[in-house]
Amino acid sequence: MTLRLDVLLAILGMAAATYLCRAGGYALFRALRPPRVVEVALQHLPGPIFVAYVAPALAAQGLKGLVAALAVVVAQAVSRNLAVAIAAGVAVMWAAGMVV
Amino acid sequence: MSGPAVTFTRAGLLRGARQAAPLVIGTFPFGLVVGVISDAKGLSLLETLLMSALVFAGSSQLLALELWTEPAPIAAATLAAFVVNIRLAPMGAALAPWLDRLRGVRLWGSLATLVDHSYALSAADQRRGGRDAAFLLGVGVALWTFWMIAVGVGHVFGSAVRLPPGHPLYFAATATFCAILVPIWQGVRRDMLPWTLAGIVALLAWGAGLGPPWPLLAGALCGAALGAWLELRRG
Repeated sequence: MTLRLDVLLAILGMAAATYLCRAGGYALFRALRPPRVVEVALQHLPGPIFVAYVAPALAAQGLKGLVAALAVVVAQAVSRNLAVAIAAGVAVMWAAGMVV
Repeated sequence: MSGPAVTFTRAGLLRGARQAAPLVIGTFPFGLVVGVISDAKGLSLLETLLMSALVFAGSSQLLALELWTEPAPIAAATLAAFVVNIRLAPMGAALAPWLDRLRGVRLWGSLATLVDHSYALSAADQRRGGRDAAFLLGVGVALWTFWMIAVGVGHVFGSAVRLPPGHPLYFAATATFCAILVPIWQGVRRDMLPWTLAGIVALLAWGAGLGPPWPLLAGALCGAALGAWLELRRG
């Protein structure tokens, strides 16, 4: 049950940044109407965030990562169940590890 | 603002908690993944639970953990949390018909539990004519409770099994983000070009040797900017 200072500071930094988004966002948007381009850009942010994370992570895995990602997307689209989708991706990676 | 008064009751709180129950099935595996990855990155159970309790935003936690180094990357983790969670900023404003009627700890406490799911359920309840602002807190507290359980179970499992580095199970983190993309996708016209640009920019930054969180930041901001530009140009 350790609690290291560097980890605690990182957690507190994340917590502060997140609360700023939750509460500061409400306060700020109420106080001053932001320009429409900001609002629209925020609506567009989630997709690019996760694509920008996933692209290098998959590139580092090579072909098997790409196949596994495809399996995840198909499984999620068909089942609409996060657990099924994650399991499909892990299963492909596991199978690829057996083959190679 | 006119119309019937907004209330904040125990009944509203419980109704929110009950409506959150089906969502737990969807968020539980996510919490398990966060717990397993936290353990793999060397966080103790206490550190893991503290992060989950205070941050309580799964994708930002998972993303920060993916960038994790020894010693902890204080600035990078903070920045990652901000970028991933800035999407929550307009949600509070959208719930203004309720939140504007709250004061003090009820207002700022309710906002502390705001997540995508509690926003979505509350916005729907508001459209149906819901007047009880405690509904938002009820959903949030229920999701928070099960989030803590899921992350804790994941961490205990991870430290019991002691997976070697490179184990296929660690792909679960990347898989989670691939899966999250599916419901976010709103069609070729809106998302194809921005998402493609985000991926290309991230790959270029990564290929150029830039460390985290820069490929993520560059890709995300370029993609969102292009998406906004295209949408406003279409009018």
